[in-house]
Amino acid sequence: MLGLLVSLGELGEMPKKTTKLKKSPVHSSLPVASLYRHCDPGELAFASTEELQPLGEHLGQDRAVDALEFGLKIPYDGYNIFLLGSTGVGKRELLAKLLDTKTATPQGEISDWCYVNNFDAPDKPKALRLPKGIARQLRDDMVHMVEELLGVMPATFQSDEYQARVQELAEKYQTREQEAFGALAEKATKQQIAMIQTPSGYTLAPMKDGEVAKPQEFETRPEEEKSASMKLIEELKEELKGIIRQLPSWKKESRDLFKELNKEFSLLAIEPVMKELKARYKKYTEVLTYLDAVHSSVMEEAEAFTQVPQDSAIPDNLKERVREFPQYSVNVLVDNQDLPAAPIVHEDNPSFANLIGRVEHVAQMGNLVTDFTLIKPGALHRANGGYLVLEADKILTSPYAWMALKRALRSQEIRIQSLEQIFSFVSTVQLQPQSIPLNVKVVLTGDRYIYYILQQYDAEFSTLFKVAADMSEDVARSPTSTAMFARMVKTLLDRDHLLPLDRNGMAKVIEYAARRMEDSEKLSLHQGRLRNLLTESDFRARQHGADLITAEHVSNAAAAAIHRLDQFREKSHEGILRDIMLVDTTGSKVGQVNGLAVYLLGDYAFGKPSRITATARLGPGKVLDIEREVDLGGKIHSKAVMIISALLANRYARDQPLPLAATLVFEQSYGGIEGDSASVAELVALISAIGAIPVRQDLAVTGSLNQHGQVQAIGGVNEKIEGFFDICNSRGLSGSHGVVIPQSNEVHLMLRQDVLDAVAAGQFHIYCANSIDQALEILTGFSAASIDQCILSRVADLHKIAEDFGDRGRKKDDQ
Amino acid sequence: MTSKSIAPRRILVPIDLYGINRGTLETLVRIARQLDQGLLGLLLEDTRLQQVADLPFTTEITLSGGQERSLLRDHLAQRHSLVSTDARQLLNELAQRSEVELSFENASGSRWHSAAQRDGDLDIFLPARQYWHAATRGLSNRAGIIKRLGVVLPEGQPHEKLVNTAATLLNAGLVGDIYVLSNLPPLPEQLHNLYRPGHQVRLQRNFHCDAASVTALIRQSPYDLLLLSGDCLQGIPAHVLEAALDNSGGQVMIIN
Repeated sequence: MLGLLVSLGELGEMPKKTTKLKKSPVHSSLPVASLYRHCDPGELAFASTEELQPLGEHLGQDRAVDALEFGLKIPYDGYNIFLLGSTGVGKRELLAKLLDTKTATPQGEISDWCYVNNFDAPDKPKALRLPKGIARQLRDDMVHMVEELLGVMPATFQSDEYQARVQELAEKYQTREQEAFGALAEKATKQQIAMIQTPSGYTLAPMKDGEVAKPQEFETRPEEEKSASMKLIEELKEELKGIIRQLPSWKKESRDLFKELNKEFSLLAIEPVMKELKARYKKYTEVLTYLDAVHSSVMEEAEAFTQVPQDSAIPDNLKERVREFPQYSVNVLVDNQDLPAAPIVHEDNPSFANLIGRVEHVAQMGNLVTDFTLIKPGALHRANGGYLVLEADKILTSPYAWMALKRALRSQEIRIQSLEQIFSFVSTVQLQPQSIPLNVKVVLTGDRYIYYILQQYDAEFSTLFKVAADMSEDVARSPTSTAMFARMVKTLLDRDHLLPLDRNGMAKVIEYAARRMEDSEKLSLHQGRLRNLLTESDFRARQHGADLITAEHVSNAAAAAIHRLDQFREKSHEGILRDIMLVDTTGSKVGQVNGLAVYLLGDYAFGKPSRITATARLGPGKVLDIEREVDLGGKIHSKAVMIISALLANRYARDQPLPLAATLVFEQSYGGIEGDSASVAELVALISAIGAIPVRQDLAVTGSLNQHGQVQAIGGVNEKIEGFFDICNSRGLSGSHGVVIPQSNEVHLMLRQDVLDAVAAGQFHIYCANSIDQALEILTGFSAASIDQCILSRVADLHKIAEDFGDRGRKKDDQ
Repeated sequence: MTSKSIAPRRILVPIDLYGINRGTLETLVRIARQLDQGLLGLLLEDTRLQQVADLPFTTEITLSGGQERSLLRDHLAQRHSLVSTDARQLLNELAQRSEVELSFENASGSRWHSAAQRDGDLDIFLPARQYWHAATRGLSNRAGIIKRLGVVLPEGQPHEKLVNTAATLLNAGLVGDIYVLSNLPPLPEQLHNLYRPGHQVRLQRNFHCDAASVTALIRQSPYDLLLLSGDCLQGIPAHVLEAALDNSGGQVMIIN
């Protein structure tokens, strides 16, 4: 064990340079013209956007438009639409153009919907489907009907005719009762017994000389006489009881007659009103059925209409009294009377209740009560027969709303149920409104990732949302598309009532759109960011009293927007400039390369150089990624390190084991590292460490690698270059500073003006590399072939050392 | 020089074992207030019934179910006390609120008999006893409101007091429609006094103010309140009138 340690100490020495490195051929940097694609104002055929026509079509969105037109027209089930696109790309605007509120094609027949009382089962209100405008009319007519009955019924029941009939009935009953009691009283009197009325009934007493016998007098009577009187009284009592027992049936008979009388007079009052009402709705079978039920109910409740409050002589008060009869009101759930075409509903808050409707309650005497008049419509009700536009993230984050939407679409009906009902959390009586048939086209809008997540994890999604309308984020930059883009800008300016842009201002906006895409050959179609830039430019122009937005206003607005978010970049660069974060920008170092990282802070990104170092020594042929070992490296980064390990072994030890152990690390990195854009830098650092080949520190490099050593494109190239430029510029440009980027990223270059100026002055250079060989040559200044020889030689040395080390170990074991 | 205070006219209301409900008393107090009259509550003891109760074997057969139960003097006394106390309290409360002068006297006998025996310038208010009859008129009747007021104008007798009473109640908003019953057509000025916009005045001609007609009218009164002059009741035997009043479904007010 001790001997091993001594040997390792020997192996740790720097390898001797036995192979001479040769200078590399000269690699030229990119000309300044390749670093930024200007928009020539001369190519814009207008002086200001005032001369332009707003764009009627949808720039770059042909695919999405085709899909939307298909999805909106196809009448089959499940062909609902998911409109994919990032936030701000203009999904709502595109939909608004294709879904015109004045011309939208209905999904079947557009109807009014209302809920009415179910007189047989009040907890199950009935839904009525009516042609457009009829629901409101029915509601008004029902109010009018109650008003009329409130006027007619009391008059009918106060009429002399009715009173006379009542009187007749009362007399009949009275007479019958009086005659019965009178006859018995007469019979009793004849037998010297008085029948006397008491507050509760009747009593019988013996008489003397036409008057009730006094107790003393009665006591003096002979026993036989007293017994006879008592016997008579007992007999009369039984007869009296017999009469009294008949009273309930007489009363019932009288009450029945009275009810019949009331019914007869109610008919007289109610029939004309109901007849007129039914005649109005004779075309609508469902309404007629409902009116029949109303008719029966009114007949039963006729007495309630006869009640007249003291001050009800004033006709206007009848309107107030209508509220006393909510059972005859009509709850108009959806009134499409004023709609010129199919309904288009945008529900910004697609909660469970806002989607399928709800049953509200009112507090009465400390209890919550409800009825069919408190049923409120949801977005599905309002959009029925038309289109419902929802934002996917909102509906997915509203508890149970997604479930409710899917259920409604699947069953093609809207069933208003509370969550308590669905989950059986309550056992109290709840309203169960009749389901309403649903025929709606739902358009979900959202980011792509939501669409793909739903596709992956929600089995029902693909059967319910069969149409994907994928919005493009960019358009190829050409003279035609540039002209169209200018007209799109004009549309946005008009919509937001902003000042017009002059030609130079428009050129700047176009360049901004290209830079936002990180592609000189593309234009960003992200309307949200574009509108922000235009609005802020307009503000600056107005501040300066200008009538037009100029290039200066646009540049200043863009710079100010960056400045507002720029503090973190400043602090980060400050750390490097103060040598707290170690990044060399001069000289050459072995095993040390300037990599470039990009930081994304929401809508803002900036680049920053990072030192990447490597060590190499005798070992089992493994490249140790320190970031991964401590869980600071992401999966893509780990993959990239494995790729360069394979590349290294394949390049320098195809027929033998690679006898070295190497380590890689991002120095002073305390957060996570992700991505493969540092692959080139890492491999260069490794090769430098293995072969003790110095690497230029005035250059930084970015790019990913494949196993064959090809340099592949990376993201954020502009920010990365600008990040290294800022550090070098602050320390003072030497003329040798520069950045190595993948060749395939050249088209993405849209660099800042100060970078362009430095390049034009020969103070800063952008090099492109296709392969690791080119990158090595630029970064080391030596030819790739000589570097390979150097590494192969070092690998051979390491093999020999490994063999010697093995022999020594075996000898020790033999001894 | 001496001053003489003039006592207000009073309305006598007999209160027997049957009691009077709150609604009727409210109507009475409102009438008294509008007519600017006081009230005299006559608390009646039914001596005849007490005498029956004194008999050792007397029982009562109730109208509700035909149950037989003993009729004791003590029970009658208790009931009298209860009804009197309730009526007193209620009338006191209502009269005080309406600032109507109120007094009570005790008497014995039947309602009409006791009331008719009183001396003095008294009108008599006799509450309805047959509430079933009143209830059949529908639920539109409210306490304190006389929807149908019947006024009997006998031939050959002065009507001024009756008409003025009806007009006062009408002006006070206590009356809905007025039904005038007479043999001859009323004088135009009488009708004029009884006419108010929004209210109907109906005439019923050929009503003869004889004993039989008046008794029948009282017994079968279709009116919430029937106004009669005391002269109309001349010649009607007390027990007949008593029986008619016991069967009446409306209030009766005798204007003397």
